[in-house]
Amino acid sequence: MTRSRAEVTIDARGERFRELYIAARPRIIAYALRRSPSPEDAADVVAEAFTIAWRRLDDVPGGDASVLWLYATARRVLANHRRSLRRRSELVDRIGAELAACSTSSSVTDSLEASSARLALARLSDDDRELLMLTGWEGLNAAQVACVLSCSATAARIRLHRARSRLASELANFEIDTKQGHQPRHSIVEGPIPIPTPEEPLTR
Amino acid sequence: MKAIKEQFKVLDPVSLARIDVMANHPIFEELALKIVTGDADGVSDGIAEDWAEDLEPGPDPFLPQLGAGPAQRRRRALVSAGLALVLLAIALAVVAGTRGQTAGLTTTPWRAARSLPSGTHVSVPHGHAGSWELVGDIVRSGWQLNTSGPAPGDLTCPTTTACYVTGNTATKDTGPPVFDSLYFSGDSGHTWSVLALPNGFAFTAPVSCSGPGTCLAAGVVGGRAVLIETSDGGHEWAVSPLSIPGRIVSLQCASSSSCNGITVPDALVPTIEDTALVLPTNIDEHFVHSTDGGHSWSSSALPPVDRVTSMVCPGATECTAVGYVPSAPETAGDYSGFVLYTNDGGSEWENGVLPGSFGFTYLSTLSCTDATHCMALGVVTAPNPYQCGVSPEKLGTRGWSCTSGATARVTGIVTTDDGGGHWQLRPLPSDVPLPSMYSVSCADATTCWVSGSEAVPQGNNGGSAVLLGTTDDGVTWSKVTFVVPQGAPNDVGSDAYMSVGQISCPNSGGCIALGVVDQGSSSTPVYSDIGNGGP
Repeated sequence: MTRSRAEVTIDARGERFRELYIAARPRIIAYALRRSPSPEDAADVVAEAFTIAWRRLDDVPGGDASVLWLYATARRVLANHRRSLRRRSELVDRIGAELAACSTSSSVTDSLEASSARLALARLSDDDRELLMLTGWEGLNAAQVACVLSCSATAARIRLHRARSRLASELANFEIDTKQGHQPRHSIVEGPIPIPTPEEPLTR
Repeated sequence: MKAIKEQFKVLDPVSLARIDVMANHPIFEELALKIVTGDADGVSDGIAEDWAEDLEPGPDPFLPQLGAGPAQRRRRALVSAGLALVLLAIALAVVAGTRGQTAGLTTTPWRAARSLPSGTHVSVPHGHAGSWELVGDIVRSGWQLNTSGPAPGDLTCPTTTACYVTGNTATKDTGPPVFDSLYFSGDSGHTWSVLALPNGFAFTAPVSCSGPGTCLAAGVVGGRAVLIETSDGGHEWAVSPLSIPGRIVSLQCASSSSCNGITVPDALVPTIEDTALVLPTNIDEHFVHSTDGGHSWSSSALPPVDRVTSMVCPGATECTAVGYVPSAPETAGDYSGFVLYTNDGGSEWENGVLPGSFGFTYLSTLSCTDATHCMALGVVTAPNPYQCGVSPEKLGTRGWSCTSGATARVTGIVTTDDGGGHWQLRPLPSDVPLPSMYSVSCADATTCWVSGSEAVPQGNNGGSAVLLGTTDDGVTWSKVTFVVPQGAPNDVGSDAYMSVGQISCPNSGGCIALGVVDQGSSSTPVYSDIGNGGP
């Protein structure tokens, strides 16, 4: 019996999803962990982002852009999670427990330099912080950031430059404060760093 | 700036080295399995078992339904478990990189159609009337039809030879219908066969076919909304979960990739196609659009109307919908009704202007052959030809009794030639008493047929089946009526053949129509005018 068009299509979909899943999985896990309040929430974001990718596989671009598509999807998933309470599955909870081992040391063991940087980052706007995280942690360049945030590459470069300048300014302020014997204006940030609300596009 | 980048990196709350190790943990293969089997939302466990049952071909609705004894239950359990293991292995193969037979777990095995007997118990030759011929019956013991309206089975004819009918196998004349069977004719309705569907599947919308063997249908399996797709005339079906909330109650595919539809919340489906008495109100209806054959959808809320009864999309982005307000008080000459139309795939909807004395009801239907020409069936008020004390007290031995009112609600027909913006009332012939028309289908911009009944007694019947055809966009009409054939299977209410329900005219080559019979009747008459010249 010859295979139907539907069967061939399904095979192709499965193969493509497998490749995407294997290639992008570490990066999406890291992305979610960096922005979620708990490893269990991060696991939920990962599961949902890849579920959307499976359902909308025909919309996922090919090549390196597929990871950017997944970043953008995970970003929207995070926003939805903040708007609603979800009942997680037992599997997601188990994944979350495993992901807890992927976190680095807590802030109590941070060096002074790291504490200063963490504090400076917390003082930035949500938009600035997301730009810096995408470049500093996800390792994206300005053009790739533009894809994730749905803005032009030029706008991304300009905003990234400004964000870095503002972070440098905050760091400088912190150094001045500590040299003059002042307490930092904010306590050391613990847990995930606040992130912008993705449903609102960043200012172009 | 470089120092800032370095400072920023030390803040990274995750260890990339640990992530790389973690990403290869077997638990993520488990997650992949859940995703490809549609259970990543974690709402229920054991989805592989569910899908195994889903994909087992359904029982032949024409064979006696035997009770499940212990041996049969054990056999079914073994079959389900075996299929679950097979499906599990296939899904794992996808994750592990082995090309599987059917990676998505969504294709039913090929099944031959089962032929049905033709209408041999109806006297031969079958009746002729004008260009129309009573060509046969969809015969089935227990074939169920609704007593309070048109045939619940929906007729879809992608060509003048190929037709599909979704069948209702409910065993009671009360309660929701059960659209879990599918009939097919490849010879303009002369003979019919029944197709195997995925086990447990029930339609929530008529089948939409972009070709004689290429069809997409919306329904539910085990309470979950799914789409089923065939490219070989219904022998194999690809099943996929619906990727949007709610359930599709209207589906229109202009091609194998471009589809439009309407969704309603899940809980409403069991009643939305039920009788008029239980129609819900204030439905949250959404217009949905797909460019990839239903794999993904965009969804947008329809304007706050309540509720759409028929939508037609003659193009990929052009759709027209009609509906009415169930809660609106209905008085003679003041009927509720609305028209919505879009030319941009549902981004914006415009309101059409209907004649003041015209309205729609829960039975109202619509046909559009292009983006500008449509014909719709609704209601108007007309003089009552059978007023008590004025006209005969009773029509036929069992049929219509007179009514006291000087006027009565009858079918009205409206047309548009500007895409739905403005509608004109088209008068029906004066020799059709109390016209009650159920379905309209237009072959081109000006050639249409409408089907229904008129209050003309015939034998035991109080009414007669009637077809009205026009070639000038409803300005003038030709009328076709049928004589109830000798030996007709009047085995329930003895009033079979008194109305024509669904009609489909895929092109100017002709039309197919289904008769309306009583609940529990053993056959559904089939009418055809293929190749006979039209109205």
